[in-house]
Amino acid sequence: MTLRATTITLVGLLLASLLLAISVGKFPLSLTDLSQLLWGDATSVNHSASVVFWQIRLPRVLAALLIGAALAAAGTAYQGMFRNPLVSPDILGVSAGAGAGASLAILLGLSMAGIQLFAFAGGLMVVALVCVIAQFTRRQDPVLSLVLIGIAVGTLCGAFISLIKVLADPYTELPSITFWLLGGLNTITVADLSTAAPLLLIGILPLWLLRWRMNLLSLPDDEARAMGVNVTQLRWVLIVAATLVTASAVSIAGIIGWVGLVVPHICRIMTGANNVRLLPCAMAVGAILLLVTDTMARTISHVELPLGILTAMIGAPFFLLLLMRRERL
Amino acid sequence: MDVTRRRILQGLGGLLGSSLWPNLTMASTASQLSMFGQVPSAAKAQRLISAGAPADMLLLALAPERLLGLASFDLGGDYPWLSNKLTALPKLGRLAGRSSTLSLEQLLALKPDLIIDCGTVNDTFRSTAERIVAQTGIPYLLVSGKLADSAAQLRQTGAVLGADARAEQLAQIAEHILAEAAHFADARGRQLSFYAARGARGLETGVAGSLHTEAIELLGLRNVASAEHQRGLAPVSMEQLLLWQPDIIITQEPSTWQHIQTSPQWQGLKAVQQQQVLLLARFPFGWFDSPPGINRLLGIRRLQAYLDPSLQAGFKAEMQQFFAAFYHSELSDAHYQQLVEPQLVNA
Repeated sequence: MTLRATTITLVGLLLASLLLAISVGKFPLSLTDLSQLLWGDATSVNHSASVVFWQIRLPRVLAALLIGAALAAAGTAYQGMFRNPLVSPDILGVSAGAGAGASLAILLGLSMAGIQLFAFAGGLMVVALVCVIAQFTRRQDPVLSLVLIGIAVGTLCGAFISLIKVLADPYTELPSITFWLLGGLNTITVADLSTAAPLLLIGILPLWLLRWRMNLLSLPDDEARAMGVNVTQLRWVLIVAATLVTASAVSIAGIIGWVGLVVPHICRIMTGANNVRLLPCAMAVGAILLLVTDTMARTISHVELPLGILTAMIGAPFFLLLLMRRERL
Repeated sequence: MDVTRRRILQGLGGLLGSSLWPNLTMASTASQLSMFGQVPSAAKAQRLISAGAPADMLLLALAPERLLGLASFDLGGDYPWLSNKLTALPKLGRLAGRSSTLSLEQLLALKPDLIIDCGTVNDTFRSTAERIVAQTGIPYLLVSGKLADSAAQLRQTGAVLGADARAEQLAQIAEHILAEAAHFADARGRQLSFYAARGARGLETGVAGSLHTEAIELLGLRNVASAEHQRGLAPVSMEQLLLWQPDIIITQEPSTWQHIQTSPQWQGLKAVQQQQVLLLARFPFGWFDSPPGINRLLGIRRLQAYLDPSLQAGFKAEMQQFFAAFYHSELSDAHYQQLVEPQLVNA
């Protein structure tokens, strides 16, 4: 596919899934209702339809769009930066830290705002810790040591989460922790979105602007330096931005796996490894994947399916299919 | 009959070469009890271990003086409405296979005569019991925990413990509450629907038919969250909830209640507009869940008293009677007030 055709397809799919997500839901909203709500005389629509649309469905759809794009962007940045296709945005422990923070907050019985704050702070603190420890391992390859430290600290956080699960009341706190760790957008409110959206955008912006330079990080450090790039500085900027993005996403949506790992691969098959094209493509595909899976999560049954389960159930087979088709080429 | 079964089992054990299970016997007196190992005579069942929270509730009611501790409650905190008999009991941890927090060595050190568990009886729990008996030699009694069978659970466990008189008194209270609930279900309950809110935002719920909402459903109320193949907890969306429009919303968590009262999303529910959001705060025993034990009988009664104005005046006395019978505690008027109308931070 040419670049132009890919762009048109992606933009078309994105708009289609956005429209689908907005118009489909448990609460019946007709297309007339929707157009009235969006462009027409809002007073002609009944009150509950307007509450459903503005307070519940639209924030949720926008959150899916933003979080999908953000996680895919962070995943793309990390995979390029660490020159490792198995890397996901969680590699430096941000999800594990956020999970530990959220579990602790649930154990302490804090409100949703408290849980989100703990999750956000937990994610940032863990990545900061990983980076500080990396400063003491200067003799190693900086990229490899970051990944290894991330895995070790992430495992520690995992152990902490397990400990909290053991201590939690099996009838009340434990189910809440489980649901949080499985991720989901069912609790998103306008307030969540208005807190997280600016942070997500602030994080995405440097990734977007520096996407050409990201290519240079896939070269060995000395070669990149020879081209006049301050590799260390660039790496830190990208880590901070990607961490901010992932921590904000995880703090309002819980841990949604697979998007950050699998979407960059799907896009690499579509557009190649050049981040100038890869990053926008990954953001679009991430947004589409999350919009579609979240629409399914909230419409399949009366009760919801946790989003983390659906993204894996849809993302993994799709990815395998792509891999198999690629082998044949 | 007992003996033949034991012989057969021992024979089978021998055939399988399983020398680990030499004393394993299994006999069930009736539908509610499954016994593993040599269950001691009532006089010898003096040191009891509760395996989990529902068994805590059962044994607190039947034989608190013989309990070595509780599996899941630490009552040492601030619970002035409970008698010292209860609050003096240490928290020992639960016995539940992999998720046990009471180690087998600690269990042996406590030298119990009998372990009692209450709740779901299926192969997972049966085999857990069998393994503990095989490893420790301590007999294990598994009591089926369906709320509707509370009276039989109390009578049969009481018989094993030789606490028949007390068990009979408790069983009669249970029967009375359940019969009244069934009566209410036919008269009015089935016309009402409810949603059981859980989680910080109230968007987790017990699905219809799950033990999390069993108590409320015994009053005939229809659980709006019904999912064909699910029997546990599930997340739900606000949109679905607006469509369901339950008559009553019930929660056990003050933070959930607070969120429902203040969040703009929830104001579209007629139950919220009509102030039909019920907070039944745990004390620390839950009213209709956490734990899913006989404590829920009081929750059934309280909800019925809330829905039927003719019972409201008498509920205080009933709750005090329930406390005396099941918790061996004298509930003062002030404490009653505190439990029924928990203090909330004004939003």
